[in-house]
Amino acid sequence: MARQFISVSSITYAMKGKSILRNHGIYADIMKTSKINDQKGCGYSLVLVKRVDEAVKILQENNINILSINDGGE
Amino acid sequence: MIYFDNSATTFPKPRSVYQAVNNSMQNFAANPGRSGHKMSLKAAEMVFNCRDAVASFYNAENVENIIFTANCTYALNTVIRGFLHVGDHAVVSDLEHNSVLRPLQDMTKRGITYSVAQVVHGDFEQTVDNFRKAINEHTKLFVITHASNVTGTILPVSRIIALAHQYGIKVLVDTAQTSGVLEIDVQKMNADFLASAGHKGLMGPMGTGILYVKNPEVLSPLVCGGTGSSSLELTQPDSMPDKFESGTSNFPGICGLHKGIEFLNNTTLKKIHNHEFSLLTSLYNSLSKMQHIILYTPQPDAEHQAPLLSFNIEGVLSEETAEILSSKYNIL
Repeated sequence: MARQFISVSSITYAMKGKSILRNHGIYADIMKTSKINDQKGCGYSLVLVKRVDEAVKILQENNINILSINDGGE
Repeated sequence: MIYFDNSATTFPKPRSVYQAVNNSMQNFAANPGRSGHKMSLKAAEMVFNCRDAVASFYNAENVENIIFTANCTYALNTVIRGFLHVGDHAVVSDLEHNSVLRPLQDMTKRGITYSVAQVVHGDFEQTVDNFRKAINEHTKLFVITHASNVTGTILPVSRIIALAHQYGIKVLVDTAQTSGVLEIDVQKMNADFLASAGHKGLMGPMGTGILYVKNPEVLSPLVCGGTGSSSLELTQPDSMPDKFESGTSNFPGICGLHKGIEFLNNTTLKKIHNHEFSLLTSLYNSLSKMQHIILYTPQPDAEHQAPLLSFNIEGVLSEETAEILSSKYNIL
């Protein structure tokens, strides 16, 4: 399955998002992403292979600012 | 050796603190939040875990409202210099540390004014009233210590904050002497800003400080620079905590601080406070029976005094007293 990259504004939000998703039974990796996901330059993304829509909804409900969602060019 | 200097920095630290510092330096000390390799991500995770522990310790609304600083002075300066503008007025207590008074005094050159409200030991009502009298139409900030670093005198922080908020005034609380000793809940207290040292009651290493900010948008950063985020933009990121954490963090110190907070949680603040207060009372009672000893506070009571004591000997400079205790009796 294709990976989806949910780009957030800081490593802290990435860690917080990962922790929140884990509490909902969704596992995400954290990757440093550059211009692919974030026009402002380097940042961090939560990387998921499934339950992406559900994860986005959960993150938004927890005030995690999502910068972009894409497949990272894969 | 008897160590009396815990208000300057606690000693010894829990063994787990030393081990965490050593372990982080030897095994995980990549730059957290700057790279994508596994050691950097592990380091970032350890910083996040400490931030999360600090947020829980103070019952902060969000983990990102906790900012790591170099020390408490840096945290206090971040608010004093980042919040006040030309024409603004601040009120401080007469028990403030130079880390509050000096930046405010420096800012008088830039059109900031401030007043000093007297704290009356043991009389919360009168203390709050003195703050009320110091307010003027330009007052934007109160800066108050939770407890004096010299006498241990506790201020009625929640009541002073309630007073300030009636007038739309924000409050910065300095908890350098009370974090790790008294229960602190920023939401119950309703503090706008809270600063602390990591190396005193929190049992962490020196070079660690904490700043809690309820509403980051009201505050400008003291220092701008690299944050590991939005690196193509010249403007400082608004996202928290990056807005206030430019430059590489004190990663080993933060790992040690995390273990210090774990120690407090496992031991419980109630047990620590009861132990320290019994030592304080015992010392006070013994010193008060000695001739020529000067004590600066009344008989300690837990509501009005943190477990901290100052004393001196009549006719002897405090530095001389400290030197004699150190060289002759190994009392530091």
